[in-house]
Amino acid sequence: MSSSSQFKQLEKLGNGTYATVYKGLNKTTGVYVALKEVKLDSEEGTPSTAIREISLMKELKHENIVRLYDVIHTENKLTLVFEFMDNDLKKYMDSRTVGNTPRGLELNLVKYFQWQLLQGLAFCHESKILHRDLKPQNLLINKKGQLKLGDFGLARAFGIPVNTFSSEVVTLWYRAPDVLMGSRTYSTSIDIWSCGCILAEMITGKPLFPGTNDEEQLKLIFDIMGTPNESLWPGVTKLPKYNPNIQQRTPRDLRQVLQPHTKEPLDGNLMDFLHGLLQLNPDMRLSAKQALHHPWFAEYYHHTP
Amino acid sequence: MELNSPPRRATTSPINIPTGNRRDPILEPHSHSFKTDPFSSNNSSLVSKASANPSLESPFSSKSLLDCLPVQAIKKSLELESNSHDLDAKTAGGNQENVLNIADFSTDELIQMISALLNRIVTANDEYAEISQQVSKDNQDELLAPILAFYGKSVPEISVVQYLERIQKYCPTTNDIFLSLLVYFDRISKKYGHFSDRNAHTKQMFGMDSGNIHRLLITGITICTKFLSDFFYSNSRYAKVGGISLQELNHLELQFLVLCDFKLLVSVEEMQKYANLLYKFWNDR
Repeated sequence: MSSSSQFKQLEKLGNGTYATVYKGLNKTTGVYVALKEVKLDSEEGTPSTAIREISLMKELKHENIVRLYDVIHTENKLTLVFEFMDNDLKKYMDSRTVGNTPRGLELNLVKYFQWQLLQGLAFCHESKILHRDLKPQNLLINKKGQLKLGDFGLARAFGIPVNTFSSEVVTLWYRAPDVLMGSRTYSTSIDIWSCGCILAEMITGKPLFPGTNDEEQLKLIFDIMGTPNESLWPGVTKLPKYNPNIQQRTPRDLRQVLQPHTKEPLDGNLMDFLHGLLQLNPDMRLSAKQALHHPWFAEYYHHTP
Repeated sequence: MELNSPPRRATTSPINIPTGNRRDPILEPHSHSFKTDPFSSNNSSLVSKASANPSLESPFSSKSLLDCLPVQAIKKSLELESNSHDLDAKTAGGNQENVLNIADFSTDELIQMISALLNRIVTANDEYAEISQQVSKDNQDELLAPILAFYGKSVPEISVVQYLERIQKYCPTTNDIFLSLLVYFDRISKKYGHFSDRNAHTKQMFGMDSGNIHRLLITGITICTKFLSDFFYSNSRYAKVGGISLQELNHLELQFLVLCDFKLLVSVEEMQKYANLLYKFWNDR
């Protein structure tokens, strides 16, 4: 167990919802780290976000998941010592905006990032952990082009079918339609929807479904993906917040939606892959493992043992 | 952009929470019935005797949960461990009658079962040695501090089963939480079961006994609910229900995390193993 004197605190990297993150230097090893300081609240004690993040990330050792090295505790503060990453995907995409025009990433970089995102996520899901807050801000990248999943404050273990899941999870733009309609029996497919939204955003540089509230979010999704019905998605009309009066929409061609925002041609494999992630019916979405075997990734898995 | 974190209070909890109990006199601080402060008791305290005797020479008898289970059950658990890729609970438990369905089992009955098991451990540890005599708040060993923190000035009078029923009434939770507690207690028992002090004397430092079981329970339930469930109460509520101050609960919460090395994840297989062992203990008792 480290002590705080081992680290030199450098500049502030950001304010999270429950923590402040600083860059730090391990004085013994000369290695940079990220120091996430969590204040222990007098009413709430140790925040549940910190309990989850620490407990889960201690178990998740994978090259596409930010490594938690250590936890330093004092009576009123926890400091989580993380692997240092140069940037996050949101800031990186923002930095590429020219004037007011967002620009997507080159498709080969998109593919490399998406591959790593799904590798990290497949490991979470194999470890019976849902992330539940995948979005560009929570995907950390470094100068080597590595991408790692971070911020497990909303994550949870799954496996025992207990009735204690909340539908108030995932940042709105990346929240799956089943969760938006109040489903509390979701599983790994909740993270796959987010991966689909992130993929589209990397291609165009703009969020795919930038809603401002639950209702608008569903409308934006259905405007592009079509309105679900019982034949496409058995059980959808039984969801708690299903609205039978919603305006019926037919699915739009996703390629036509995205292509104007990128110079590179979007091929059939990519579009098929994206559709596999953005299935309205959660049971129809690809699993992380299936996604990694999609032909769009052929060049990767043919080189992976 | 909003980040929707899980609700802090169980306003939409799927669990059946007694309504209107915010003003229940049992929870009111001015009420002096024993239910308000389940720890209030006379001063026939083992621990207060202990402070007169700061010796830490004799070891705790550190009975782990599995120690208290029938021999066959332990054998079963070992078979399980050597065969952990076998995820089918039905085969893991050995036979059908000792397979506990975690999702559907009655929580009230589970509380009875866990209380019986904990009582057996606590009684055994209380009898083994006068554990509390080894406890001293004066001890400077920082490794011991998280363990000693769970002893109050006196032994609470409320029984384990009454205490768990009280917690379940005012902060209802689910079977996975109670079963995780057994796993955590066992992990702590194993980790601190054999402990070398600065003079390289091997001691057994942790055992559940009548002096610490209540605080271990309320703290474990608080932490585990915050970890496992999307619906949980404020620490101030858990403290009130558990009969300790908020400040003490916050402190114990951190000590409990340290004792667990901040690792709270319990695999489905491990939870099922403990569930089945508990069921067997109950059926064989």
